[in-house]
Amino acid sequence: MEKYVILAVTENHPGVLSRMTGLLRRKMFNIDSLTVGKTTNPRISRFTIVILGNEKQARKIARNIENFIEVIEVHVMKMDEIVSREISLVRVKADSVSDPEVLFVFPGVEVKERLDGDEIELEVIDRDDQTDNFMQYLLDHDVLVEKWVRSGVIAV
Amino acid sequence: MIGADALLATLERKGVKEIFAYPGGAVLPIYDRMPNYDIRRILVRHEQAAAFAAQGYSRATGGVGVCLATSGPGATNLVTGIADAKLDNIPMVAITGNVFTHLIGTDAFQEVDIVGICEPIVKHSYFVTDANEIPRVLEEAFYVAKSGRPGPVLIDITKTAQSDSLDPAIVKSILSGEPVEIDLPGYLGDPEPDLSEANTVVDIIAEAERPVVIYGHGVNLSGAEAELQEFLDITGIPHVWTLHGIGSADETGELALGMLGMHGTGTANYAVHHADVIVGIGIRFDDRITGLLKEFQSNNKIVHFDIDRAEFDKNVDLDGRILGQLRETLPVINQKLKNSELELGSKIGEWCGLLRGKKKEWKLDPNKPKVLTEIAVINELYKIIDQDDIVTVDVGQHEMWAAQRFFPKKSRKFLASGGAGTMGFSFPAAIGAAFSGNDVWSISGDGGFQMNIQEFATCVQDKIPVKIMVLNNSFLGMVRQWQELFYDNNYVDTPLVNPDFAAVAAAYGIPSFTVTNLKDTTEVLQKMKAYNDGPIFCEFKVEKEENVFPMVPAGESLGNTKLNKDTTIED
Repeated sequence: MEKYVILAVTENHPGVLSRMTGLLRRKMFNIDSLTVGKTTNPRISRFTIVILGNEKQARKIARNIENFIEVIEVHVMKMDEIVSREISLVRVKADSVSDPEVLFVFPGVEVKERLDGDEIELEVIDRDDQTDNFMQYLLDHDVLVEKWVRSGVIAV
Repeated sequence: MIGADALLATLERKGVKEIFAYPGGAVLPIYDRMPNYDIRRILVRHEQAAAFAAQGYSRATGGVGVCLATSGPGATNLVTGIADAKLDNIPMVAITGNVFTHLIGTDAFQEVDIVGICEPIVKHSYFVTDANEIPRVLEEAFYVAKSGRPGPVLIDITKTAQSDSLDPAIVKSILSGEPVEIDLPGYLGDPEPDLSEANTVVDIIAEAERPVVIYGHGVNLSGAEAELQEFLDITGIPHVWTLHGIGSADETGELALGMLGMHGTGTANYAVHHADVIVGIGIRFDDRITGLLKEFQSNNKIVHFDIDRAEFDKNVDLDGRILGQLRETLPVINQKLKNSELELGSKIGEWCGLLRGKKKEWKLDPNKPKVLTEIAVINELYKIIDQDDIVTVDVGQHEMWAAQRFFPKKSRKFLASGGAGTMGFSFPAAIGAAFSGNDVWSISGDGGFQMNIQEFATCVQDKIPVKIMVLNNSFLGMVRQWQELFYDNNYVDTPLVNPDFAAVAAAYGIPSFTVTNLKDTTEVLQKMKAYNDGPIFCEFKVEKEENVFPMVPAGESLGNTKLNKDTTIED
């Protein structure tokens, strides 16, 4: 199983998101990540959906998405063949960071601020696999993560 | 002009002559205005019947049937009929009222999220809160329902939108009869034909030694019957058909092998099982026709003509694909076949000879019936009906017996709930089909008939001339058959205690008969045929424990088609 990204351009209507997620559910996909937002044209939305599967499954599901009346355009690509980013907002326990250097090893990480003494806030902008790696890296260095909020992947 | 007027005026402009409907609180603004429009209301007695009647109309005429129900339970009662239409690709517009806009989301009385409930079973749906949107939404709904791969479209309209006045500019445009602009940037309607693999497909067909054509519902949905016949004539390939393919080509020739699948003919299943090339035309390779997939797809090449790209390589891996309306793509392939230097048919002589022999050997009903069986009634019916008559069936044994034996000269003459297999379909579907102007025979079993028996009242009140037949074997026959064959005769809840059906019909004021022996069958059927003053009914008390053969046990290969309990086609 590999990660595939489905990029869909749709009309910005209520219910489109529900049709998408309903389809994925009934075709027995667990959504790895899904983001949606307006474009420069407020009538048009752009979806980035990440699923786990093989190429055949990804192409099949893309064709089903294409069949929705409100879907204008669909592309399907392998995750590692596409430019993608994910944002994380992270709070870690300040006194668990014994060596501040661990926060600067990954280039996508920015230390935003120290909050009221005992928490540090980080912002991570990176590929999702790098984000996973950073998460593991902090755990390996006994950094106590209080909160980790991920935006889901966006890709072009 | 209020939203209800905009709805009815647009329906009228779309050529809708009748709607199958049931009133209720959330559609009162529409009902209030209905008498002002030239649209006949058919008052069903359960909303499910409205959906099936609308479907029956679509199936029989090729048009778009319309049903209407109120909010809450009215809307949820449509659900089975909508799901059935989705699985069988039937164009239909289902309209529901919903509560006032300001009450939406408050769990108001008779409020349900019908758009949400129906999301996986519609081709498209609309939730309308603004009266001004009604003309455009209806225009789009009819277009979406009918174009491309057809399907049901749901329009849920709040009572507020039904009651509000429209902007004067929109009223002016409706009254002037100007075309309503649709706004569907993501919808192509009929896809542009993709014939990029045409040469591959032609070569595969020409080089085949044991080819077979499977044609299905796509042929009549596309209106491509003549183009299919030309394809069969040019290639001389033996052909089999799906439940919904019945009547789409000449089905009486020596190489017309019958319906295929779980209850297909021995010859049809034998041909598909042994074919080196399968040409699927307007079919979707569903499990009831393929049997065990890995055997369906072994040592053969499969080419597929379809309108929906999502069907390609869905269940079987293809060797050639032709996308588009069959009425557009088949002529291109036919022309290529005619122009080619290939000696069509030169390699298939031996194969055709073999199949002709099998067809004779495995002929259905070789012996005259001695007692009243469902097969006997069905065969007598087919002897007396006219070629324009329509037969609707329910689901189960009678459906399969009727499908195996019907060779109408035209498509849209055998109406069945194929994909969903919905019991209770036949009678209300026949009510809708009656508006095609043809005589309609509805066949049901004793189980399915009780699921929509209340439609007797609809037939009487609206004087709908359906010829209603119940084949009563006092069992849920098909389920009993499975219990007999696979669950050691453990007949749990399949024996049925039934009412005196003819007495029930009579209580509704419908002329009725009960037939208990073979010799009365034809005479009563003739009486039903001659009757033209509304509905007429007959119950046939048939043999109780007959089994439908041929049969492929669920999940097994077509090669395991049982001709009877002890013999398969490979024996």
